[in-house]
Amino acid sequence: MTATGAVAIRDVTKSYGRAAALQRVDLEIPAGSFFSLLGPSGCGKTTLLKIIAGLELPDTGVILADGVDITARPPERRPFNMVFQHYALFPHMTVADNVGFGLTTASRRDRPSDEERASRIAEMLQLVGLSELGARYPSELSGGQAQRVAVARALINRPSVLLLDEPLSALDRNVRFALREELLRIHQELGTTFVFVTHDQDEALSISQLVGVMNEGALEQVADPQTIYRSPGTLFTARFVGAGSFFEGTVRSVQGDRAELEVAGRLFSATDAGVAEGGRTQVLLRPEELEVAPSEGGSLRGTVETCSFFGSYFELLTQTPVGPCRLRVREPVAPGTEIGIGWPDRAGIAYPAEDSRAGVDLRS
Amino acid sequence: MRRRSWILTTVAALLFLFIYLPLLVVVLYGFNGGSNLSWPPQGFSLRWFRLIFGEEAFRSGLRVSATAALATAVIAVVIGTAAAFAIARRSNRLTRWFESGSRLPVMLPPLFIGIALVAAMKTFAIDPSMLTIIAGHVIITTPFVILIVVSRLRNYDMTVEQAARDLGATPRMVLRRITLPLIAPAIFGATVIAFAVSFDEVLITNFTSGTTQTLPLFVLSRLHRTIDPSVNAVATILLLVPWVVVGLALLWQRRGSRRGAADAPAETLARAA
Repeated sequence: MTATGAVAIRDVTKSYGRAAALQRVDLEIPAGSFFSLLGPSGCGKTTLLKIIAGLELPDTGVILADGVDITARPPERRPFNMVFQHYALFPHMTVADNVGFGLTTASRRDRPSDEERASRIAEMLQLVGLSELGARYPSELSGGQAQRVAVARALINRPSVLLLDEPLSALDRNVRFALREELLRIHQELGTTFVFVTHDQDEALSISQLVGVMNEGALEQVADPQTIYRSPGTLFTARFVGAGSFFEGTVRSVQGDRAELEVAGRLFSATDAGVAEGGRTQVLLRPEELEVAPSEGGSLRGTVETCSFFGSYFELLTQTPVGPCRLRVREPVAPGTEIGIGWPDRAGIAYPAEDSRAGVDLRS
Repeated sequence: MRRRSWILTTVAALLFLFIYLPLLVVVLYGFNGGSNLSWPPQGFSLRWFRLIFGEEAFRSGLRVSATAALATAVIAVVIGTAAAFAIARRSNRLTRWFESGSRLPVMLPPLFIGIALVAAMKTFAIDPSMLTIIAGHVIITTPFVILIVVSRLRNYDMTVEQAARDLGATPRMVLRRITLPLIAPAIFGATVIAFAVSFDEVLITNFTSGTTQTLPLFVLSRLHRTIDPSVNAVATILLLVPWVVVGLALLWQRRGSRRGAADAPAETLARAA
């Protein structure tokens, strides 16, 4: 596989009427990567995908495919294909005709022969594991099968980039998990760049090589999943990705990438994510970093409110003087029990405290 | 509870009889062997159909009505479908105004439309002919076409068109290979309804036909002169032609619905029938 399929987005802005959907987005998607755009609904991720596909035009900015400006090209002249959230299969065509549609749209001279078309369809159906279903109509398929057909249909023209618009969100949990792995396998087999839009952070983290977190029309952070989870660049990313507890405190001093903090009368140090000395801060602690400490020790005291079973662990929701706190334990703890909560030094990440907007849900 | 359902059943049955018994009687007498309308009918025969088909006035009326209905259906469907695309695909003040405006002919009394057409024909010195009959029918059938096609265009998933574009189809290809096949059942249903409405329209036709006689007009004029059993035969034909057409259309759509074609137009059809 040659390394084609790099997409670059330069300074792209888009608004609908007065509402800004995208604000000066810059993004590099490496060739052959599995790239996820992650964000809550309305963050602009689908708009960005449609602009890459050519189904929407940006107000300003350019889109480059392998270095070539394709901003003005209509969708049918871009080397990209798309998988839609609700499959968008052609209901009046069989599965085979759906999959083969992309081979019938070129001008008559460039169209592949019937034999070649049949063999490409068979190849694609085999790729998605639906070889037997070519004669069915879309109304006779399950959701998972329909989405596989949509993937096969989008891949038949050998696009350099496959765009996937929340392709799994309409499916049942089990089907979703199976199809997730299937997409990963197909990606590894073909080496095509996948741009995958989702609002499901587990999905984004589990299958992507790179994740772009979006919020209110702007990119918050672009990084690999581990970095996104372990060191979220902004408070928004920290809140949106993964579970976590946020404690409010004061910054005593900052040295290099370390910040000395005071939270509920206790001093400890955490990784600095842009705090200022003397300012207010919100400290992120992941549930797996926290542990139950002997009730005399620990850094915080909390009362267990609920204890939920998750198979391999129990999650405790506790109430502490600085707000609610989640932690994972191996053995259940009865609600009402008072425990000490401890964490390793430097485990936390300190973000500048947001104004009242973000503070409300913590203090309440 | 049981008592109430018993009453409901009776009322429904009576209503059903009230609506369909006269139709049944007419059809029965259409096949009557005797020559008067006394009960019971005297044996089965096709003599009244033979008599009727032997009359030149009837045959020409049938020809005129069939021609007018076919032409009306084709014209109304072409105009109505084009209008439906404009209404469903572009939403601005003009199209919204146009949409409500296009429904108006359904609510106007046909008598009013008839008088207006006569006035217009006088003003522009247009003589009554087959063309004016068709024009009158197009006016009252186009709103049905618009209604049916717009509702189909509104409740179908636009992303299939985006998907087709994405796979390399030009806008014309999308129209020919995706949009039109998908709304074909609605267009077909609209054609059938336009045909059926035009075939037995009598009020407006009365104003626009001049000396040309459609089948319903033939029946009326014949009733003025005599009441003989042949009228029942004509009425049976007037009843059965639209029913057979609509019935065939429904069958065709049943068969098509397996392929995910919309059931909405089929329902509209069933209601209109």
